[in-house]
Amino acid sequence: MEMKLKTLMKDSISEVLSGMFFSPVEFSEDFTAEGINDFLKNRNLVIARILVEGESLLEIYAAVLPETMEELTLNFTGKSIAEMSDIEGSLMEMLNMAGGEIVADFFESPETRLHIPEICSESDLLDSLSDKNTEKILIKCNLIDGELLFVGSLRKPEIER
Amino acid sequence: MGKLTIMVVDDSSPMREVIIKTIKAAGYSSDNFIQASNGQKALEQMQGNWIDLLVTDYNMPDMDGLELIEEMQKDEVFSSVPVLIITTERRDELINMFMEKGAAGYLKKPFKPEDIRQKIIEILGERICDGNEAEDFDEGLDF
Repeated sequence: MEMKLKTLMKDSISEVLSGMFFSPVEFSEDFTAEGINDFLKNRNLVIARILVEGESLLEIYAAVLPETMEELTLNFTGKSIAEMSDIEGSLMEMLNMAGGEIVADFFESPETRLHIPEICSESDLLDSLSDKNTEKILIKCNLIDGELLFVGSLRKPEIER
Repeated sequence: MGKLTIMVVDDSSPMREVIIKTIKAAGYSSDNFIQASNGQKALEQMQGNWIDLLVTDYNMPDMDGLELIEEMQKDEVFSSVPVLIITTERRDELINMFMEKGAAGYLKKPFKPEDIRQKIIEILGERICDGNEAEDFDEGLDF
């Protein structure tokens, strides 16, 4: 199930980044949990998350350096640096679009709900990573202008019991 | 045909910018755009403004796109405004519900720019372009 979700996440991230942010993406195939600390270390990252509530509970986090997100936002909105709009809003919309693809392809319950994305803190992400009752999906994207980390945290009903 | 007034409703301001930019690039560059960040604000903005087309997201705080359509259907004037839903949702049951409630069209995010043009033409007909023809449509998109 985790492999299916990882594949779906990669496909949706790739579609959103290439289709709406005009950014080709390569995935770091050898990225593991040990790499997370290096990614987070001493960096003032912009972090957003979205919750999908269906037969399982899935939280997806996205973390990125502000300067990388600025470049992506310029691509997304087509605005100049002087007219730069909200980079946090662009990151949340990226998660929203990727989440929508995953809802359709991974969840079966017609009651599945894609929540509204929100900005969160590094400690929220670290808390999620340390939760032993969830399966983690780690995806590091290499972009032309930097890196983007996605973390999926899947809580299955049988694990909750 | 005069200029169109198009309302774009989405809680993401970057996405509203993208939708407006895409619609302009599709040939509606001289038209008027009104923005709102959720269904409730859209209804407030509609008071006193004639809207030719309403383009809305589904998943928004306070009042979502489906609730907005339901509220519009209760009003004699607003119920005649065509609504295009642009959303990340693509579950059949939800899309069917959009259409049953009165949406004129549905488009999935992420979308291709030409998809918006095609949907608007489907909804409003060919009456609307202001001179930027389809052949320079792609070049007009300076993302």
